[in-house]
Amino acid sequence: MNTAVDLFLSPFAYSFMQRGMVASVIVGVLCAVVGCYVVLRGMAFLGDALAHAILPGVAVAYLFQSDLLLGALAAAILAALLIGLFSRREQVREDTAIGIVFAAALALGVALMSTIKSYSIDLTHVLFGNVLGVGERDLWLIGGLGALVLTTIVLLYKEFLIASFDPVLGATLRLPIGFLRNLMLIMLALTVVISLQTVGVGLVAAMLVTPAATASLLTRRLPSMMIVAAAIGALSALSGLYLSFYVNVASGAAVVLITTLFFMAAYLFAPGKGLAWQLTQKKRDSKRVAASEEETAG
Amino acid sequence: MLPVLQIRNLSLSYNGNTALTSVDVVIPSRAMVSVVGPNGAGKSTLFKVLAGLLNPNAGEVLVGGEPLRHRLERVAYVPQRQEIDWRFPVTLMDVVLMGRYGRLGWLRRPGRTDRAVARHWLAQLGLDHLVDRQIGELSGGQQQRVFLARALAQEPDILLLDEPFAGVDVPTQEAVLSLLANLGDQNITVLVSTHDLPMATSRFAYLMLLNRRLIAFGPPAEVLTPSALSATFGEKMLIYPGEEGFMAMVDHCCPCPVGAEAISPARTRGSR
Repeated sequence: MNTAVDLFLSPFAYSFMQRGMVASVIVGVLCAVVGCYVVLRGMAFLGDALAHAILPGVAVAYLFQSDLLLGALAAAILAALLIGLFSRREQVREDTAIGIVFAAALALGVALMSTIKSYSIDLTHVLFGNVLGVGERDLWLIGGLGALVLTTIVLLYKEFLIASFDPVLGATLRLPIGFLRNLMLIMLALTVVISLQTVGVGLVAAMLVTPAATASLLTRRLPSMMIVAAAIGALSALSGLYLSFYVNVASGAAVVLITTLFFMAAYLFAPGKGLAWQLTQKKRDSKRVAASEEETAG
Repeated sequence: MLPVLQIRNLSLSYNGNTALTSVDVVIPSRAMVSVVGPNGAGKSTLFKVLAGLLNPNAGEVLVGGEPLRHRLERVAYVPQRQEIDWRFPVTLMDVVLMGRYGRLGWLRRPGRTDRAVARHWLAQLGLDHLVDRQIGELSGGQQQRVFLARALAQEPDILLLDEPFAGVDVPTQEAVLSLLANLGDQNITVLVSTHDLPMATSRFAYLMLLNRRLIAFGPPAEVLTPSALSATFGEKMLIYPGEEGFMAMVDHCCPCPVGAEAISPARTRGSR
């Protein structure tokens, strides 16, 4: 009994572990909630692109020895607005615009990073996160920005809902659809930046997409989808950190693998939408058809 | 009393093509108007202008004597084809409540009145037993009715329905037509675009014939003359002198593929 409690509590003996846990849970929840819109609006590729677009911002901040998160933030917002700008003139398809900005930013980031001496270590941290290096100041920033994003999403719930579900209705109601779209991109950029330290740019797309996609299999309304996604995100973040503590694997990867397990489980067994459910339903249907055919034959 | 809708000398062209030329018409309050014309006659364009989605190159639209842009909240519009993701996690109630958002303004949540209005129109359209269903679980006709319920939940003065009967089952068409017939009592002016000339003449008090320009507007008996019909439909129509006046045959094909595609099982299948 005692050992089981110890198993849960012993990681908390270290303050860096405590901060890592709190940061991971915040990021898990935030990514999941914002991820609901990412999944519903088909912006998964955009989320991934934004994450990589952060890299040059981080590199520039590093070179000038200013705050890495601020550099990342500036780069992400710039990239989000650039993609919006490119795709607005319908000359270039949005996914093409994203592909161009994405690759260019990544190349620029790597080029800038390679001028730095301790290049490979820092690049690894940016790409895959460094959850145990979350300082007290970082935690405040993560908490503050996270609260800002979540509050915005709750307050503008119905505006974001219309802009995502039916922009034509939004336009007839005179909602500023373009503004809401850009605001959503900025929310996404903030979320990606906050996730930088816990899961890194390489894996943030998974945190955005996987819990939300899992929740979409289990729910039928947006509010419940967000709540279920947030729970999955938080649970995965916690259990991923435990896993990395005891098995000694990279924490970001562990978190993402656990969300993937959740998704697989929902994909197979979700009531109504799961594979197993649909297969048994098909079997039941064909039995019913066979029975009624027998009846008419007899 | 001011006429509810005045369209003055409206012209619109895009990409070098003229969609509407000098359309000039005054539509009386509470009228039930069908807008009829061949494909490409500018019916959808006219409705988009009236919904505030397109800006005309010339002319103006007055609602209750004021410019349309100040009165957009008085106009509700149901497009020909809903460009939405039917798998989106919203229920019927959620969708109809969206019609209330314009009245609520920023930050406010729908309250008891909004829910009551939404429930009222869902019941009027025979959907009250489905309020908690996800929209993708509905049939095509039911989906069409949800969006009509949403437009009515806006409590508009003017209701615009663009080809509402394209690819819709007969019971839905009848339910919608009889509902529309009673909207005049609630001070709602109804404009419906359609290809179905027989339905337009038998079920609507006013008929607007449109072919890029306004051909005629008025009660069907006055509007339906051989010259007006041939100006509207051109060579797509056969006019035939008969024993009891004249006979006209109009090819009113085919808005269906577009409208039907939007509600075909293939697009909704993924939601179940």
